[in-house]
Formats: sequence, C-alpha cells, structure tokens
Amino acid sequence: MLAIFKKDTHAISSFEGFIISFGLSLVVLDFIFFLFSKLNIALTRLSTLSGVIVFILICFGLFKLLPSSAKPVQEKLFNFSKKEFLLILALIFLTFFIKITYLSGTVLPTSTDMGHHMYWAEWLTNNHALPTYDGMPDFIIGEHISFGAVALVSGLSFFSAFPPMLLLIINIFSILTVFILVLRIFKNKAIAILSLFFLGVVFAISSPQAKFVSGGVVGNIIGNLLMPLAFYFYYRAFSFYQERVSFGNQEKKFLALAIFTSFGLFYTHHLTSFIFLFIFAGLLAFFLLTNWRESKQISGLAIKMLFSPQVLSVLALSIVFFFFIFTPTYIKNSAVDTAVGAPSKATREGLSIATLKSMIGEARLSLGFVGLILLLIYYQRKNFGYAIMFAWALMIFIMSSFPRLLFINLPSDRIGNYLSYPLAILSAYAVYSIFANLKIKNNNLIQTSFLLLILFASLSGLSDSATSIIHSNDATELVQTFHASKYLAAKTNDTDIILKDHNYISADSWMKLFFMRGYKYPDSRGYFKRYEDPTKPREMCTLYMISNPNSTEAKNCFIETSTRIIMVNPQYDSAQFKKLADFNQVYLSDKIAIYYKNN
Amino acid sequence: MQQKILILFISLLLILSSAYLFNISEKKQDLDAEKNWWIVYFQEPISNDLTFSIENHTQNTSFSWEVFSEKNKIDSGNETIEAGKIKKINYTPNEGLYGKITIQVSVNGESKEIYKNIN
Repeated sequence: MLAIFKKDTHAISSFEGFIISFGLSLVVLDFIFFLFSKLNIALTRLSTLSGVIVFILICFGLFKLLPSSAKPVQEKLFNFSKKEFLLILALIFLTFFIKITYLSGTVLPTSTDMGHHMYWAEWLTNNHALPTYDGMPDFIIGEHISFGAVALVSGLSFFSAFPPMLLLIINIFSILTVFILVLRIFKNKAIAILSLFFLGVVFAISSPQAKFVSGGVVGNIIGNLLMPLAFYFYYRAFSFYQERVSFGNQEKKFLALAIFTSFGLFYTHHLTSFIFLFIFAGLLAFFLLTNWRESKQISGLAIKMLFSPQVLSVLALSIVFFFFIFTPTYIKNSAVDTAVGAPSKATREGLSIATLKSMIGEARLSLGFVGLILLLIYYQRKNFGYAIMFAWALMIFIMSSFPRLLFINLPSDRIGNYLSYPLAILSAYAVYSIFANLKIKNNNLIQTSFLLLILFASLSGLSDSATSIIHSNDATELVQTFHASKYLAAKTNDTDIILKDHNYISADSWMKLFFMRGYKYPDSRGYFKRYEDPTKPREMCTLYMISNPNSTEAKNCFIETSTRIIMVNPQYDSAQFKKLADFNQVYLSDKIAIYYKNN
Repeated sequence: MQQKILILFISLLLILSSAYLFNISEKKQDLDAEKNWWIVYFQEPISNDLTFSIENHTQNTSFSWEVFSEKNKIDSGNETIEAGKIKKINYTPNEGLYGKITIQVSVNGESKEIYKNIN
C-alpha cells in the first residue's frame, strides 16, 4: 500500500492500510502461487517465503523510487471523539468476545466442509503443487492457498486450531472492511459505528458469521471479505465524481486495485463471484440511470480511466493469469451454465420473508428494509457508494427471493446468507437517519425510543448468539475416530478399499487427511435421505455393504468394489456384522468398530 | 495515535484469541485429558496373527483378558496398564486354532471383544 500510495499520503489512513493490506495479501499470495505453479517451482516453505520476500522487496524498491509527498495530510474522517473511540474499542472487543466464546466449543476439527477443504490444503503441502481437484468444479484454488501457505511456513497441523483461527481473522477483517467502506461512503462516524454494532456484535454467531467459521464455509467467509473490499476500491475510484469532474492518479490506482481484488474473488469462490457480478451490473445500471443526463460524460471518464497505464496493466496481468497461467476449475467445467436457468428444485425457487427473517434476524431485516427506503429518500445520486449500497441489498434480495426474475438456478438459502452484510449497513443507516433527523439531544421521548430500538436489536441478536453457544463439547468421539483412522492408515495400503459410515461417526470427513489416498478415499455411506432422492439417482453399494452386508446386492458390491474393511459406530451398526462368519472384528472402542472381510 | 491504538488493540485481541483457541484445541484432542475410554485391537488386522493391544485412557488400571475358541475358553491373563499406556499382548496359541477366535477384555465390569474367523 505504501508503494502504491506514497505520493498520495492522504489517500488512505493508517487504519485503512492495516485493514486493506490483509485482504490484498490474500490475493497477492494467490498470484505468487499461480506464478510458481506455471514456472514449475515446488511450493515449499523456502519458495513461499522467498516469493513473499521478493514481492515485499519489489514494493520497497518502488516505495524508495517514488518521490515522497511533501506533507502527510491528516485524514479527519478517522479522527474520533473520545466517546466514539471508546465505543469502537468496546464493539471490537465484544465482536471478538462473542465469536471466541462460541468457537471455544466448536474449534475442534469436526466440521464436514472444513474436513473437505483441509484435505486439499494438505494435498498442496504434501505434493508441493496446486491441487487439480480431480476435475471437481466445487473447489476453487483461492479457498486453499492461504491455508496451504500457513501450513507450509509454520508447520502447523490442519488438526490444530489454525484453520478456524485463520477463518476468524478473515471474518473479523471483513467486518472491519465494512466499517471503513461505510465511513467512506456516508462520511459519518455514527453510521460506521452502528454498522460495527449490527454486523459485528448483533448476530455475531449465526450464518455467515462464527457458524461459518467453525463450519469451514471457506469460500463464503473469504468472499465476504473480498466483495466489500472490491466495493471499497470501486467506490474510491469513482468518488471523484461526487466532488469534481475529473480524476487523478489516485483514482486510477484505486480502480486497478478494485480489478485486482475482483480477480482475487473470481479465484476464490464461484458463488460470491456470481453474486458480485450481478451486484456490479445492477450498480452500474442504477448509477448511470440516476445520472442519466451525465451518463455519457461518466462513461467517457470511466473508459479514460480504464485505459490508463495503471488500470490497463493490472487488467491485462489479471486476464493473462486467469486464462493462461491458472484458470479456475469452475470455468473449465462450465459450472456457470448450471447456475443459470429456471429453478430446478423447490429449494431454488426463492425464500419467503419468514425464512429471510430467521436467516438475517428480525431486527436487521426490518431495519434493513427501512434503511433501503430511507436510502432512496435521501439518495445522493452523485455518490457512487449509494449506488453500491442500493445494488448490494436489492440484487441479493431479488436473487434469493425472486430468482426467476434473473434466471438463477442456485440454492436460494445460500444466496440469502449474503444479505446480512448490506442489511446490517442499512440498519445502521436507518437508525441514524431516523434519529439524526429528530433532534435527539433535546427530546427525552426520542432518546428513550432510540435506546429501546437498540435494545430490541441487541436482545434479538444477542439471544440468538446465546442459544448457539455450546457449553461443553466432549471430544471423546472425535479422538476415537482419529485414533481408528491412524490405526487403519498404518495397517493398510492403497490397494485396501475402506468403507466408513457418515451417519454415526463423528468427524469422519477428516479421516481422508490421515490416508491422503484421494479425495474420495475412504468410501462413505452417506446420509440415508440421499439414497432416497429420486432426482439424484446414485450408487447404492455404500448403503448395502454397511446396512445389509449379507444381502445379494451387498455381496455383489463387495466383489465389484473389492471393499475389505468397514468402519462403523458399534452402537448402531455391529449386529449385522457379528452374525457373519466372513467378517473379523479387529478393532473396538466405544464409538468405533472396524471389520475386516476375510474372504 | 487513535489509529495506532486501534491497530494494536485488534492485533492484541487476535494474538490472545489464537493462544486461547490453540490451547483449547490441543487440550481437547489430548487422548487422556478429561476422557474415559479404552480400546482393544489386533496388531495385524489382515493376517491370522492373534497379537492384540489394549490401550488405556481411563483411570482404571486392572485389565483382564480371555481367549475363546468358538465358545470354549482356552486362555486368560491379567494386565496392569497405566492411564495413557498401551499393552501389547503377543498371544501365540500352543496349537493351530480354527473357527471363531474371540479375545474378550474386561475392566471395571465393562467388556469389549475382538475376533477373527480363521479357516
């Protein structure tokens, strides 16, 4: 950031630099790894550190080469009163406190999604190369590079607290990014502080916050950092239009960073990227429509900015990387085609208001919609940030509640989760707009109403968090699964086919990390309902071989799949094996039994 | 100054949170800490070898074992195994055994068995 903005010291405050540099570092790390992959450089501790150090040295060189600004300009926007400052500290502390309290009961490696993601991060560290995902489009490289890099450099185990901790850091920085974005857009400290309250403190645990952290919803968590960060840069790039009719070098740099961050997002999560593209299209359309008379002038300036050396070089570099250096798997496998079209399932036909209320929280949903209306009432058409806020909330609302309007064929609840960010900001805007216009200082009734509203939001958000906190998390089942996995990994080889149960074994998705014999190794008996889904016919052998191993179907399956080892929870699945002479019970703990087929 | 304090404050919270979560995770994944469980398993699950191990993660230390050929008891023994320790029992029968060979291990009134069907 110093290398880029040395000449424009007023462009970003030190606090903004701290927040922005974290998100940008994640994207820079992605590009360093892509380059190494293309150059066939093994991804090791040495190469990772070297890549980062070389990048830092290049930035330092640029910093030294560029002429210094005469005088650093103090950014008043980030000068808070004593009360404001203490409130910010208190809200940040509360954000940490609530999330950490929840994570202290859920930090263990039990989440299925986290297990799947960490397999690929472990693959990266073991093979010193970027994973190819066996052609599976659901995994995207940006979800795993940061985990792989941390493991390579630190040597930390994926079974330690580092994966949820890294996700928590990303989650916290996403909230702080929203804080600086709001401060910049509205130029109002009260709205920014209220945003911190509505996004960080209220509903701090529910999805997509701490629950997604412990659940390992990696793409969503990183996406919720990179999307507001991209919005921040786009806002800064086009903020010149608010005050004057021309742009300078600073705006070009912000646009270059915006494009760079957008590509970082494309490399990280297809769903967030998809949503981002819809929002982006919506905000451009809305901004141009509300500035219809000057739209030609705005378009001309935007094109001029786009064709500046700063922007063009970053755009060209990003496109070269995207199409020639490292292309995400979802592009190669046309995953986009499956996301567009008429909804193919009931779960993709849109969310009702009642469902949205349970997902976003009653207080945030109602205040958020009030905020959206107030935003339109007090709309500042020249402020690009207002268009961002409007499009951010409205497009996600349409995508999640009325997907047919935009020909979207994706699970509506997954899109609906993204609403909490813009609605938290709009809730803050609503609360501020209502009470700022009512001369709060001189009216006891209004002061009381304000306090009651905040109390309502706090109670509803904090009670949601309180009910989610798990007080005691017995890890005995988890250690038994891991012990049995280690046993099998030591006693078997690649040719031994293992089948385990997903229904009754804790943390079973993490078993694959003990073997590292392929993403789908060991085989798994999935949730029973999946075998009954008529829209998705699937293989039945994994069900037959555990549920009824003596049936004709199961016997054929054992021959076809060469499965010899079965791992189940003895409290649910041992009777069917005990009565058969062709199975040996070779391992037994309270929660795990291992059977070996002896013929 | 305010911004520096904010940066330091967030960094400090991140460090403290990390230390706390790492500590909890390590403690909970410890095989023995606040846990009460034990295991019995064959050293060689695939072959006909009957060597077995008892791994103790309870506070009870007095284990006993019995070997059955089908339903006939053919051998037995007692083992003292401290918490967190593993005892490997090299069970070698005097003569070749066939059929279902079961090893039953008991501690404090609780039993677990493993078996092999040897042809």
